[in-house]
Amino acid sequence: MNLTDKVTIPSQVMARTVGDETVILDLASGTYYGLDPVGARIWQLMTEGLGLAQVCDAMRDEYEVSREDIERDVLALVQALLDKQLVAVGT
Amino acid sequence: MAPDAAALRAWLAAWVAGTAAPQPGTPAWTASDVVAAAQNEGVVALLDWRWQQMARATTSTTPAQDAPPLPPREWVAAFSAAARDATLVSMVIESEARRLLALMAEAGMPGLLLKGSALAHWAYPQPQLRACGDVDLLLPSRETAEQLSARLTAAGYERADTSGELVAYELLCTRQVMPGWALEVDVHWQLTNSPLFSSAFSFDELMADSIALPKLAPNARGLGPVHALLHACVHRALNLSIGVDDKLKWLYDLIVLTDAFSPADWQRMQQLAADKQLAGVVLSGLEAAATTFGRTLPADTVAALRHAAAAEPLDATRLADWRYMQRQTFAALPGLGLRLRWLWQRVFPSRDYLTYLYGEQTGYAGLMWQRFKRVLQRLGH
Repeated sequence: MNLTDKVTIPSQVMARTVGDETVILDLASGTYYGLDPVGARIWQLMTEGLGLAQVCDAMRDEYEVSREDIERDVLALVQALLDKQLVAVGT
Repeated sequence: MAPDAAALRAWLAAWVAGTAAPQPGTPAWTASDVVAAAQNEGVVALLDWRWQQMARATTSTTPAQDAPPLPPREWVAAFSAAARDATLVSMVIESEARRLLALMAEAGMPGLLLKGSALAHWAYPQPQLRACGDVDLLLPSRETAEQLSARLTAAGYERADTSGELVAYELLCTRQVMPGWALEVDVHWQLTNSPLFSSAFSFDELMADSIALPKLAPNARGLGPVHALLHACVHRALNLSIGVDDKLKWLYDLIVLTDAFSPADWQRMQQLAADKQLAGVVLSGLEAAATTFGRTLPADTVAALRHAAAAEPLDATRLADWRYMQRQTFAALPGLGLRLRWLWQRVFPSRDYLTYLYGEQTGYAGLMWQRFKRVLQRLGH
């Protein structure tokens, strides 16, 4: 996985916004997860069809954090979501 | 209802209405009391959303001294947790509705989503804000309902027989969607389960006025706003007739629907209610919602509905009178033969239906005993 990838949501995964958070439900396993407001914003940008590099650009504009930190955090989140099969990645 | 429970319900209703800063709850209420009451009324996610909106508005624009005070922080936190659970339930139901609609599209079957199953997807800002426990579908005929039921059974659903075709115009199907949770799908072939109202609307007229729900599925459709309002009022009347009190979520549906009404919708609603002899039932529902949420109904609507109701055979001031409503239902059936069959189906429901209502018992006699006790309770009202 790298910053040129785009993320897609598998059909068995649903997400909804509740307040500032996002609730993700894996219908196949019946397991759910919560994303805090920052994670929820990354999720939103990814599901709008932006590539990971564009997600990092948008996050850097919105949160005053270095590009390096943003990239590390976005990739870590996507890896955690991939491990739980909540997203799939491709170019 | 105990006075404290009534006060708690009024407090919840004031927050749902969002029209004024409500009085703070009494110190005797705990966070779990308030959450449990809101869950029972079906408004937990709606209140969480309302408070989130208010908190956001307070921090961004409104000076703190002018902002209405939010409930205690631990209550708000408890509501957020409960709203998350309600959201998960809503997501599972949405996923199941999509599954059903895909089966219907595959079979080329038209159908309409009813009640919360549809309202959640167009009348509320987010689907989870309309609490919903099952999926209700209306099909054109008993035959198509049977066909869908067969497809559902093949797809892993179990069917529970109802007590007879004159008592319930629906098929009940359940599926274990998650461990410990069997989701119910009610496949109707009449808009309501009571002969009193079941023939008021044909499937074709409801379909002609229906609205698309494209966010749910390409073939998803729900009742149009005016029909949805009439149906909500009839549904409320039938609930009252069997001792189920008004829930805030049902009354708030009436507020949400009428808030979006155009002057033409109000006119059409009045005309349809009068034509279908539902004016009394509709007026009763609208007045209950207006009283609960501190609203004022248009005076001309009230006058028109009251005038039409005066000439209707059903006295809508007696909706909660079980014996009266049973007599009216009996009288609504045309012919002695149908009336006797209805009576038989009421008195001797199928074993499957009793098991569905009361759970596993030792035998049919035990199930009938449960039913006998329930009828006695109703007669005692």
